[in-house]
Amino acid sequence: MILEIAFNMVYGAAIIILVSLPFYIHYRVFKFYNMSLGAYYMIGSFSFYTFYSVEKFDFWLSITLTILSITPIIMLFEWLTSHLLGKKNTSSIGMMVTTLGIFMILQNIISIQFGDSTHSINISSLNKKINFVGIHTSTFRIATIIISILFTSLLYFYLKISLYGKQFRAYISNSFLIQVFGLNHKLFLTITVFFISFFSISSGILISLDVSISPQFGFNYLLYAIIAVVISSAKYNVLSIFLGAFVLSTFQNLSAYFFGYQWVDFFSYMLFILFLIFGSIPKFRFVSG
Amino acid sequence: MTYVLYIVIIICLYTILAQSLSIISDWGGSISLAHAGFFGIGAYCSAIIATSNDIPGLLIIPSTLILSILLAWLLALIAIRVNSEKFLIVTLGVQIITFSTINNWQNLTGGALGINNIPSINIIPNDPSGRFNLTVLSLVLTFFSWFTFKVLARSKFGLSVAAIRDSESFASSIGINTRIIRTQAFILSGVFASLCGILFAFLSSYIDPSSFTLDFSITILVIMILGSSMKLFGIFLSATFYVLLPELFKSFDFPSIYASSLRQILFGCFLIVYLIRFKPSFLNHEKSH
Repeated sequence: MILEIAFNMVYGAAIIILVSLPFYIHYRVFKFYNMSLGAYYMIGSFSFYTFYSVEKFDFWLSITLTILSITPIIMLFEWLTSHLLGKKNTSSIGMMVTTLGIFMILQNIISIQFGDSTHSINISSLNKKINFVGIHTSTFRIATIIISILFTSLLYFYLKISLYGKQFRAYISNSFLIQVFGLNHKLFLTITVFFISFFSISSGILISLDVSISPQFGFNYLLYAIIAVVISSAKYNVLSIFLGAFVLSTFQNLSAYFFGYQWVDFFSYMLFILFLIFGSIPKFRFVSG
Repeated sequence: MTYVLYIVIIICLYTILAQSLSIISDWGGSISLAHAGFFGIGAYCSAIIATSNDIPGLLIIPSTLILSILLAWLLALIAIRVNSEKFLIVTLGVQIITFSTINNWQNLTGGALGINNIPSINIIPNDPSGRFNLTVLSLVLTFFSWFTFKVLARSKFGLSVAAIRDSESFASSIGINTRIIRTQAFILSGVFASLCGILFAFLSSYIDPSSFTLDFSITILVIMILGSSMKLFGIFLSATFYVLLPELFKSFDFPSIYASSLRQILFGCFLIVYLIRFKPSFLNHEKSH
């Protein structure tokens, strides 16, 4: 029982890490909370659902088509907010409200197309139930944990050693000065938005493989991402998202165990408000990124 | 005829909700997504008391006011500690906490099943459905709120709120107690939203948590933003357009199951166009001065 709860905490943290990565990149570069990320997870999952469950394409072909079809849409919306509004020096609140508008549009398009009911992706042929040391889980859950660790580690090392990573760190410390030193602004932002799209779509696909999806589910996961980043004060280090995600996932699982699953959101946001008022976990303020 | 009265009441409720939200945003420079929570508090307080045999009906308004003042005061306590960006996220969290409480506290609120058999109001006799009574009350509340906001906007209180919005440090330096003024603004906003909730409960005779979701908060926010350029009258026009839009779709034989989603898509588009084209300096008071 305890091992199962522990495994659920790890799995929950893995999902939160996945949805936090695009949020982290976006916030660090564009410096506002992008509310339309919730819609990006959702259109990623529904697109995969369309290709795999409705059109009956192969699993890997469905993933490829999802990434290829949704990435331009996300890049278009990012251009709308970050580029058009950025040129007019719109405040971060104005940008956030614009992204809320994008969220409304995308959510209701999905609602018209698929209805408000939940949809499940049947992957029983690929997803095997397994049982080890008393933990009942599935191959996809283990794969999600591995993918989460892989993505975060790859991102961390890529930001640490690559030219893009150096530009990333320079841009987030002074976006104007780095352009004076010759940064190709448009190329840098295009690559950034591509990363945001890729991680958002991947998160949406992985979530949809485990839970039923509906037009409303994306926003909840975005809020979990915000909570994890705020808890960890991850503006300092992408790896600190691990800690924020684990704290949140632990809290969620303990809330579910003691009070019932229906109270998970209640306690998650209480935790969030407490961290927001009293500050994030202090230790990670000293971890260099 | 009763349907026309219903439309009039809904327009009044949306108008008051959006106008009360403008106290926080247009006057105060913050954005709140907790308005549906205040609306829900008013509705559920009145529903619980009205359907209870043990609690006198006269306690409806005092109990609603006490709860909404308490929640607004807590919000104000948080608002003075965080910046406007984080405040929006906090109000989002408060909205979800409120919804979670309404949805899960089954013994008190009926949970997802809601509360039914809410009696109608019969102050004016010979009105079996209660619609005429509610129409009169809604119109009275609308004009009262309109008059109150108009007077307050030009009063010392309104000018103090505007000064805090433009520059909190400057307002503080000239002797304005920013904490007290902001707290009063939040309380005023929350109280009017709760009073709308009372009317809504008696209008519907049945309420459930689905009427007080985050989507509704976002809708009120969008109505407020789109109408705010023409101040209070603009908000009234925006609310009227929002409520009458499905009727317009019906006249074009548009399927009614899609009307609500299409309306949300249109309003999302209007919001984006409005912010990009007409008001890119939205809530950017320091830069616009």
